[in-house]
Amino acid sequence: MTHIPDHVEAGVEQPDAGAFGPHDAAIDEVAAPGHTRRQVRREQVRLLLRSPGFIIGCLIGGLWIFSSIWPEVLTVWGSKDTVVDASGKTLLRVPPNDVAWFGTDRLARDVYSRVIFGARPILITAPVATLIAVIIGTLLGMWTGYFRGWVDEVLSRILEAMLSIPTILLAIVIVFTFGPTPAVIIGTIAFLFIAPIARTVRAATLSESQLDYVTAARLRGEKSLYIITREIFPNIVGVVVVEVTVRLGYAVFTLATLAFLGLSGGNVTDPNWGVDVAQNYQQIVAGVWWPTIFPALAIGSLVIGVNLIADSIERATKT
Amino acid sequence: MTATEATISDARTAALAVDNLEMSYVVRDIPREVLRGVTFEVRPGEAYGLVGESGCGKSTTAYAAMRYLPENARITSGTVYVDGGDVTHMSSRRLREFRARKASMVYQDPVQAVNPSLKIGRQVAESFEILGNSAAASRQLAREALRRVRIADPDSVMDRYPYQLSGGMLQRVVIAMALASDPALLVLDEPTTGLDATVEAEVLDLVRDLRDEIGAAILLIAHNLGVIRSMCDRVGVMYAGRIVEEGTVDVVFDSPGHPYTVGLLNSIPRHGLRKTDRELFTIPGNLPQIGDPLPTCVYVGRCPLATDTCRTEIPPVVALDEGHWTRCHYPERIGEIPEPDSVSTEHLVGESELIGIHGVSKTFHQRSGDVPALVGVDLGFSEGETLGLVGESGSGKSTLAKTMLGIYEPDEGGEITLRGRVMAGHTSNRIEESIRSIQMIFQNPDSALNKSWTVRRILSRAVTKLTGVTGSTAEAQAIAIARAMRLSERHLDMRPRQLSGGLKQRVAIARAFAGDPTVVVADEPTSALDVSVQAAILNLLADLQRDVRTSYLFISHDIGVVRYLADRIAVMYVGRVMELGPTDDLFAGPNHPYTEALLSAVPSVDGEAEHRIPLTGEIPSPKNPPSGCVFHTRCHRFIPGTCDVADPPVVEVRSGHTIKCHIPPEQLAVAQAQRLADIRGALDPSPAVDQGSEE
Repeated sequence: MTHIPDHVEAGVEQPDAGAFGPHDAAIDEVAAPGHTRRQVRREQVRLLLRSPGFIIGCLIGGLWIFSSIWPEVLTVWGSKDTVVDASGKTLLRVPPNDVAWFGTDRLARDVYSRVIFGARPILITAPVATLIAVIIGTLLGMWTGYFRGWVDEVLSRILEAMLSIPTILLAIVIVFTFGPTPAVIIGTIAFLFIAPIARTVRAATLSESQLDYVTAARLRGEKSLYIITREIFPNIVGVVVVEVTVRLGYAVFTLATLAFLGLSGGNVTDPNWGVDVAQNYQQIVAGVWWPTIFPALAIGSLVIGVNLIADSIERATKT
Repeated sequence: MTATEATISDARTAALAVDNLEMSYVVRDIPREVLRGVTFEVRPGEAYGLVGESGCGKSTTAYAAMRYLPENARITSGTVYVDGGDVTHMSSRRLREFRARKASMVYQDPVQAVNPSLKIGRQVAESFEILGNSAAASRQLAREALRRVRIADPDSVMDRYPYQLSGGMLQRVVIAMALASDPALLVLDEPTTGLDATVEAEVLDLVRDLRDEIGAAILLIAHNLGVIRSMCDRVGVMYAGRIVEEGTVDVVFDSPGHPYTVGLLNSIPRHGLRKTDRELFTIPGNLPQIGDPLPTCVYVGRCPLATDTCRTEIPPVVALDEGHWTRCHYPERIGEIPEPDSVSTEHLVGESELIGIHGVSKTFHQRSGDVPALVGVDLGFSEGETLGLVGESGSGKSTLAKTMLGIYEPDEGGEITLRGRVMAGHTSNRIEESIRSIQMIFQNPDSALNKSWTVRRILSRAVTKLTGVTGSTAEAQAIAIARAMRLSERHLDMRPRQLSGGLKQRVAIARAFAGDPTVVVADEPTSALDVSVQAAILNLLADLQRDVRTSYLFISHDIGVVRYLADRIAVMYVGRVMELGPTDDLFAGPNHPYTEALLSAVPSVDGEAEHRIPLTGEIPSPKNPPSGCVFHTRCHRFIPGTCDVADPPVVEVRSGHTIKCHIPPEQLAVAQAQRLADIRGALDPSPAVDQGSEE
């Protein structure tokens, strides 16, 4: 892989000297590294595509996305069907076998089918909640980081107060208060994630807004909204992208925890990883581990997959 | 003239001998040459300077002397001897021992050279402990070491943390640590670059004094030719990884023998050169990049004397005088290098006041109390005029500029007028005409340009916002401005990080000129640039002024640069204007004692007499300004009972030249003439000193 600066021919095509003197000539210099922005981007993408973490993360994530869109393709049984063997006998709490790959639970439902069908609720709620949180958090963070002043003081204190309470505790209280509907659960997660996102974006905006190009923009009479959205935002977009992926992992985790605690936003019989773990874990002591372990593994794999992607993106943007 | 090779006289006895050193940095598996056969030696007790622009390999050479090189550095051939020992082939254990006892280094930024979480005493003592002293003895030795670097109260300094000390003080501490082992070689890498002129002078004085005491050889790396001239015995001029000329400082700087040395020396405003005299010399073309193939003469691409011989044959080392040699085919043709043209158009300064700053104060309200950063400033300047603003850091120069620009709002009572009309305090309240009339060029173009915008967008937006035209008309206008700044069209679609420092600064200047401003504030616009690039930028600014009669408020710590560009100069101290006058009058004197001290602190390339007036201590904080005259605490003409009691009056020396001092101008004139006479008497009949030369 060669890397040769692409602007080496210096001193050519100088514009007409015009009214200026002949000794004003040291001009056509181009900086040494010769990295264009596109080259840097390409390099970052190449780095990303080569990192094993990113590939594994994408494979895991891709599998769950597929499951959430076309679960029927991957399954034989429906999520609420009673599994019967060839002779028509109901299979209750049987360990993994060739009819039910992950075994069946205490209601003779196929654990495998429930895991596959269970991807959909979490893959809808987690991204939606994250997206809402990122949009609001970014706006708040940029606003406070740019304007500072008393609004920033007040908001920062509130956000810090929110950050000091364990997320899950606050989530339980809010969902319990307003009732476990899907809208409330999404709203709660979004609300809780605004604080950390706003803080990160605020720090990035603050350091960016102290650069002279912002002063230059003010000196030519730009409106604050223009400065924030057009001048500063392109320079902090990397921070926001990293924040999206990191928070998505946390959202999955928090949603599964809420579901485990019975705050799933759906019917108990609906396929949901957290709910299934909660309904079956007591049977582990009796040796019936499969209805618990497989949904738990599903939660774990999705969280790990998202985090692998987040880590690789963060590393790539830092090079 | 005889052709010889640059050689080492005796590597065994030299403090430092670098013998034909060739070095590369391996970048992406490709070795890139940085040093192309560097040969020089520093005798014990001698001070040797290396000068050159960024990327010429001078710092690499310094680090090679310590064998303190990055992972990807490869010494391909050559040897470095320090105090007789071969550094290039030492085992790592012996290298450790060598660095502890034989050689020391002082770095550019003292703040990064010390551990912020350890007290000074502990850190200095550490460098003695490593030599085998006990903890108690080390502390005692540290105290003495600090006293040796002229720290008056070592005990209190030892008890402080680095953040509690100023840059100049910290650099003394670093020097004290470097001298702990009584090294045979002391390497100073740009030791004063980040420091104020007055602090720089103090540190240089210290090193000069210490030279007699310590007997160490000194290798001084600096891009400032004045620093090298005032500090060193001999100098090597480096370009693209090769020493192109070597000799004693006086000979090299007064009768240079290599075209590059000539170019460097002529790029800086010297001998009181003014913009009305002639343009500055610039070196055409660009600095070569690390790893560029330069098979014959390294300077051939930019040399005004280059012939076909230069392109095909490696130039020989030509001895000019005793110990003075150049690596050039045509040293006898040096005189043919053309002088820059004298300026054709007369420089016009308008009559009426364009910007008026009347009784402007600026107080920052902090939790710990009010900080009056500006106090009753009265200034004004006309169309086409450059007002130079000088003073140490913390004197309020930037605050004044920002208040004028409307970034800060002045306190009640003061007003800033544009063509006689009072402007609103804050930019957001100013009318369009006021906004467009005043623009700014910043010190650091990296921070001043949005890194995610293309040059085209940066310029078009400025045109749109400042003149109201939009779309393709704005873009056409942006292209025209870029052309006027001598940027070529292919630069338009680049983003700042693809441009060199000089080009970036051109883009920033283009942006400032997008709306035909009447006033441009330039805050240290060239201090981040190499001298040949600085010359081009200064020429550009002077050209623009001649063409469109823009006024400048020009802030710089470089007195030579201010003198070149400014029509009038204001000297600021603790938020007050201490002296204001036309440039020639100001340099002719009499001066405010502060101005006198400032001017005496500048290390000069011209080798003029060095008799600095010490400015002891720190510039006072504007929060607690001294009573009476704010300068009395550091003034060498302090009159007890007067200066510390009453605020001095503003006295007119000549029309337009005012001094804020208790001592009448006549008395100042006598005292200052006396001082110069004393200096001349003490020296041999040397060339005239700055302050007296214009009278």
